[in-house]
Amino acid sequence: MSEVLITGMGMVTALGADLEVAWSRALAGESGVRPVSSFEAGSLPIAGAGEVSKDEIEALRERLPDELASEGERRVLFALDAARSALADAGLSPGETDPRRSGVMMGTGLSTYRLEDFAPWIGEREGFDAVRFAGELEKTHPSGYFQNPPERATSLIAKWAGFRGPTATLTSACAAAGQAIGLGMRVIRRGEADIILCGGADSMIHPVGMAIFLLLGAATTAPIAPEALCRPFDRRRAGLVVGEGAGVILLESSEHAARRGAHAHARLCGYGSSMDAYQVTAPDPKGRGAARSMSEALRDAGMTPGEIAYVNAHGTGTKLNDPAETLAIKKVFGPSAGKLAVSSSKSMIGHLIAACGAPELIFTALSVARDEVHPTRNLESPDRLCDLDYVPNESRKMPVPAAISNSFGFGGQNTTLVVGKAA
Amino acid sequence: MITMPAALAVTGAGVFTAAGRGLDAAWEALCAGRSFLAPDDELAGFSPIERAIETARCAPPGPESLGADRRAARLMGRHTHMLLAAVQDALEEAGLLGGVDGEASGLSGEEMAFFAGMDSVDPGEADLVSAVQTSRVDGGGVDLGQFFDEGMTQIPPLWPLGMLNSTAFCQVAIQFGLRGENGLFSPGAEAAAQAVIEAAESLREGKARAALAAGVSPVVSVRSVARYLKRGLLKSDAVPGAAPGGNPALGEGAAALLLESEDAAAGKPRLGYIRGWGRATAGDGDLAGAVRDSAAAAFQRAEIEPGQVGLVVVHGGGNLEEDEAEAEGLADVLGGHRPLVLATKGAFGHLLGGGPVVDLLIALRAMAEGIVPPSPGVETPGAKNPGRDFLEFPDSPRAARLESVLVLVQGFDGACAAFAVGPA
Repeated sequence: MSEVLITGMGMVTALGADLEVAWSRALAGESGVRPVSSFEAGSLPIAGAGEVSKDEIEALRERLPDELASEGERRVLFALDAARSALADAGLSPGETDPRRSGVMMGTGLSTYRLEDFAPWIGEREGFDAVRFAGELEKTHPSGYFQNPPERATSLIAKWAGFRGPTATLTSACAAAGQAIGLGMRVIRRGEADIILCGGADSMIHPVGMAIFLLLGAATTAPIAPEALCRPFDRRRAGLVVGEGAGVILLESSEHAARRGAHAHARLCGYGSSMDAYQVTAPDPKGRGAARSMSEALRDAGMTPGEIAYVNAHGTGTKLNDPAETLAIKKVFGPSAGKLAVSSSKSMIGHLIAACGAPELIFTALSVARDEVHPTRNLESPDRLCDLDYVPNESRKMPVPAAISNSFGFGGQNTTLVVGKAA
Repeated sequence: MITMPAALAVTGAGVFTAAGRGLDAAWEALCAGRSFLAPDDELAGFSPIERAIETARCAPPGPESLGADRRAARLMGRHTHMLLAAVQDALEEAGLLGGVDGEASGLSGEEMAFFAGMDSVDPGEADLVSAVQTSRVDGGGVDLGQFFDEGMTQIPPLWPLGMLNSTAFCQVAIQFGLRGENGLFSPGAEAAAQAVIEAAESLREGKARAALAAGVSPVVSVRSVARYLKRGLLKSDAVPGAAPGGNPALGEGAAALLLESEDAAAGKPRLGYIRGWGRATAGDGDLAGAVRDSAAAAFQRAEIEPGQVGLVVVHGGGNLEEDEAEAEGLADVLGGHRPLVLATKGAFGHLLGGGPVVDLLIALRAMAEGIVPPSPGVETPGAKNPGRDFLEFPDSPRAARLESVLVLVQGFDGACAAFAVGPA
């Protein structure tokens, strides 16, 4: 069974599209959450989101090849730039690898449902005129749902990179990117490919997207400063903060990496997934599914809980997730749970929904590679049900021989990835 | 490097198509040469296609009859009903319905993997009508201030859940207590193929003791037809005619199969075995190459030679270019060997995520019965294209001793897969 190395990483989040800049900002506990500017959000009862800035988007369009730079859908644009960065970080160029031994696996979420795609076909008194709408499909927004299928990022990355091996698109809600990365690792382990570009991309920062999280009661509407909105594990946490972006990592078999003398950031050594089978609208409050996901990942990695020093938590800042995840961590790690450093990337970049597992895995890999963990921002008054060491507000230098990253999907799909040091 | 651990037994099947519920119904319809494609009244006024659109719809049972409680049922669309029915039947046939977590099965929900393929779920615009009308401004646009202040409050709170395909997936898991390894793939036939591959691998890698692989079609509607027209799956200028080779016709349906290792299946009837699989992507072109590569990998994993294949269940989506590429790739990988060929989409329509699992189960039944059914709608294979004239579709059920069957899958953007299956 091949060992799987992380030899390339790229990400686009509200902390920027440059890996080193984003990492240094995360270590500094900076927030990328700001008032929404991509649409007229004056009446939106949400103070901020982890939005990628307009300047950043313009810059990444300039970096992308011409044929990709005109991409209209934000999440696909983010995915393409993150993939470009990951391939470059690995010291590879498009078309340089054996196409049949190179694949793409991406997690993604709902396509962008735009009000412009419904409103013109809804009359003053009548309902939605589906037949007229279908006949006028060309009038729908070019970056909207009807013109952007879920596998678009996967396909465009594969075509651009010249990869013709296994490709797949996962849509397992907030567990999608974690699953894409975990299954990418399995594909290499079983010898089906040498290289997999994998990760996730999503953007729900648009009027219908934000309305979705308000309707579900998941988003915080706290009337406080944007940078203070996302408060994982804090007593005053009030819900998630929507973020957007992408993360792509290049996984490579150790044999392939050795042949070309590639530098590895870290080793991806375990993957576990589970389902709560509890409720569609809430996680299991006892954290049983989340605990199984972590246990399976450790078993898959051949590690014991005592070998893990850091947990990059799902840490959404919702009332239900944080105590359930805390319980799950305690269940898996037992007495050593208190020795773990646990932090939430979402406190700074928001919740990237289907993509969240990818940039969070990148932060986890950097923690392992550099023996330093980023803080949980805005953790001022710990909840009594959240009583682990969440690295509040200040980064920490510490030995991180191995770490895990959790992603738990709406509906009860759970994923955990285990990262170890590269040899 | 391709390695091939032990074959995996299929111990349960669930099929829901326009032919009705169950593999028997689908099989008997195929053997009778029936096609369920018919002009679709709901789509009659749909302007992009001038002729009547043919579809093969099905009528799944209501959620309450599938055991869903009333609260859960409110969130379920017809795609969920189809998926629930297929999974329920697969579990029942394997002796696990009501037995996951039960003493009888000796199997816990944690030990059951579940992978599925399905497309996006079209949003329910009806729930947005009031919100849009409340927020409309002159010119037809929407005032976002008005939308967030008033319009949004008129949208049912659970509206978002209905359009998440993972909601359907999780509802099935909740219904049957499935708590193990899992994954949900999108959007088309390739998604269901990925589900079967990962279900098989989760068993082989010891991550589960039983694994469900399922797929479900989108619900046929003006919206889904519009999406597939936009994607080029359906063609507005297509010549009316039979699939494959004419115009793809959408169907509705779902299927599920339960895989168990040979040890776990001890004492149970088996429908057959999945022996090998392969997948490849065409990228910017060379779809035939991707078909060839995926089939070659399936043969290699199954440790069989192309000459051992007695039947190929082709994807046969009905798109002329893709059908030709499939024939070309098949000819490449088979060399001079010429097995019989079967295409099911002329009977049940193109089920997208539902199709590959239906085809796998039909392949297993063909081996068990020693019969290759006819392919409804295939009248003159290769008439317009000499490259396809080697494809021999029996025009009536034909007895055949089938040692191995190859099942081909083509998905969106050139994603291909192939499965080599063997008899019980």
